[in-house]
Amino acid sequence: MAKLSWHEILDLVQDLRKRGFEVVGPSSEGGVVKLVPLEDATKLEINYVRTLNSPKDFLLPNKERLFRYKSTATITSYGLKIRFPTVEGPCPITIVPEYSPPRGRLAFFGIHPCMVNSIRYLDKVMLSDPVDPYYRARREGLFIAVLECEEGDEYCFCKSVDGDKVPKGYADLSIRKDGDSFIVSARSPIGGNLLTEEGVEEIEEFSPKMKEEYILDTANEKSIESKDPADLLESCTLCSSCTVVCPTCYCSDIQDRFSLMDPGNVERVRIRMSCQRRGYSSIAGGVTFLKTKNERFKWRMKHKFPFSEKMYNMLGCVGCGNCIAFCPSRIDFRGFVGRRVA
Amino acid sequence: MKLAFYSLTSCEGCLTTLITKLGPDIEGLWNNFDIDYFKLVREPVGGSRFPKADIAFVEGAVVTNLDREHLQEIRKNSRFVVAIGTCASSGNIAYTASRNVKLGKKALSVLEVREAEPLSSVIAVDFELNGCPVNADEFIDALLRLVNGLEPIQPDFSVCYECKLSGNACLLDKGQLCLGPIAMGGCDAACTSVGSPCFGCRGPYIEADLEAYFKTLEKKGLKVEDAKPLLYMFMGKKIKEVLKE
Repeated sequence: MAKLSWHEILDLVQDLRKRGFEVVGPSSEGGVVKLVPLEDATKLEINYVRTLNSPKDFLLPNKERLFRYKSTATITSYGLKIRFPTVEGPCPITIVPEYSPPRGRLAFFGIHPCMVNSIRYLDKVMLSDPVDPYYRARREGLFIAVLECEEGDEYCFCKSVDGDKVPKGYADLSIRKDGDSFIVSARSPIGGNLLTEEGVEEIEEFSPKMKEEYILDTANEKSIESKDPADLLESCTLCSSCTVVCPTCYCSDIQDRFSLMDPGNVERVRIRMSCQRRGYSSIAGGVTFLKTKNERFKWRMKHKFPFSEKMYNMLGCVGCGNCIAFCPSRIDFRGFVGRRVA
Repeated sequence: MKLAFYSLTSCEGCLTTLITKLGPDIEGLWNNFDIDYFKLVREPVGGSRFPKADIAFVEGAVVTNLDREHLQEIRKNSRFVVAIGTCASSGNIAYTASRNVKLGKKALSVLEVREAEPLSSVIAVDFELNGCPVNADEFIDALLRLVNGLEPIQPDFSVCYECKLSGNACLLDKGQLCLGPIAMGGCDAACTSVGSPCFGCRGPYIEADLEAYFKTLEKKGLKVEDAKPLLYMFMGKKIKEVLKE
């Protein structure tokens, strides 16, 4: 354990950068706090409650190339019936995936415990069989410095979903505010090395103060299905902001990108998808399964709670409250899946 | 494959955008396709004014009688007609403006000006690419899908979606009227990323819910009446259909 001043905290960021990490931390920009690569350590912002984006944006980027493949077709003047993206050979088994190389090992500096839990959830999804190699490449050697959260705002509810405790093995350093200085403890050998300390400390878990607390009825798929969210969703424009700012929403879409310059080389990319969008549940023939906003909202709730509980033995919601705080009309799902107790 | 790029009454900004924004792809466009007509670049000398084309891209709104005649001629000579830009897809600013400005009878007969209409009011349009100006990447995607005999995809998300992805603070929260929640995305939140509210230049997105949007404005303490002029600014005929006024 070490008691550090603000300047020494910034030195830690510089030190991490010198060790080859790409340090990502909260920074205030244009009226919001968001996670950005900290090229300038002084940009670090430590007095914040929530960030607009989340570690997901760095571990699972909005758009990434999975691989390229060769197409034998060229554009000729036969008409509109030419098949352009034919793959050479009977089956594209010779495709060699091209990983987008991470610029260095990632380090998250100063993220709250809820965001750390979201990394744990993404790990469960992406690293369970079959492993996602793109995610793993970014995830490897990840360094996490947790900033303990003192008090949440009116949208926070991490205590209600156990998102306030840092899971074991998910922190290298933990930072606790203490007046003007900071108490920094090493939670892993790498963290200890950074603090030039020996050994790993077991520290007393710290829990933030909550403005509101809820009991959520999360395991029951039928109870979500039976309720009617129409009144709650009166002002929902299906803008999908909730899923963009959610730290655990990982759904994606696959697209083939062609270029006019070089029609022979096709790029297959993975881009973010949202269950609130029509394209999420549209299939060939123009059929859409989740037609109304009520259905899409219920689907989101079911995925976050009963489905995740069943598949990964962990809730898909970490209680950060981003989906409420960044919703243009502040639609609050907490009353829908539970009730307020404090 | 033959392509043609026409221009009706407009600022010709869409075709200019294609020329300037396509970058190296413009070379691919010239090398891979036969382009007999490209307003501003290549216009036929003699022969048919509207050559036969597999895909015709048309920018601009139908304002004069001549526009109407030309458009019908284009439709006859093209297998597939794609409206590019908001003027062609919804009438844009001219749609509402031409209905609010009183033109004398003389001006009307001399200029043969009518109330501005989108292409779809005059002919059957096969696909519409929105945007003021049109997005060059979206144009390429649509073109390549058409070449493959596939229908291009209209963005199924709002500007809010891309605005949040770009990491911007919500302008509605700052008390500014922004059409983000109902405007069609695909622009990468170009305006809101530099702090200007969304004016919905691409029209309402396919699932735009105006009632919900008005409720959102009320929750924010913003006036619905203030939003209406904004809605009419770019969305032209499309917002008229949605508002049912």
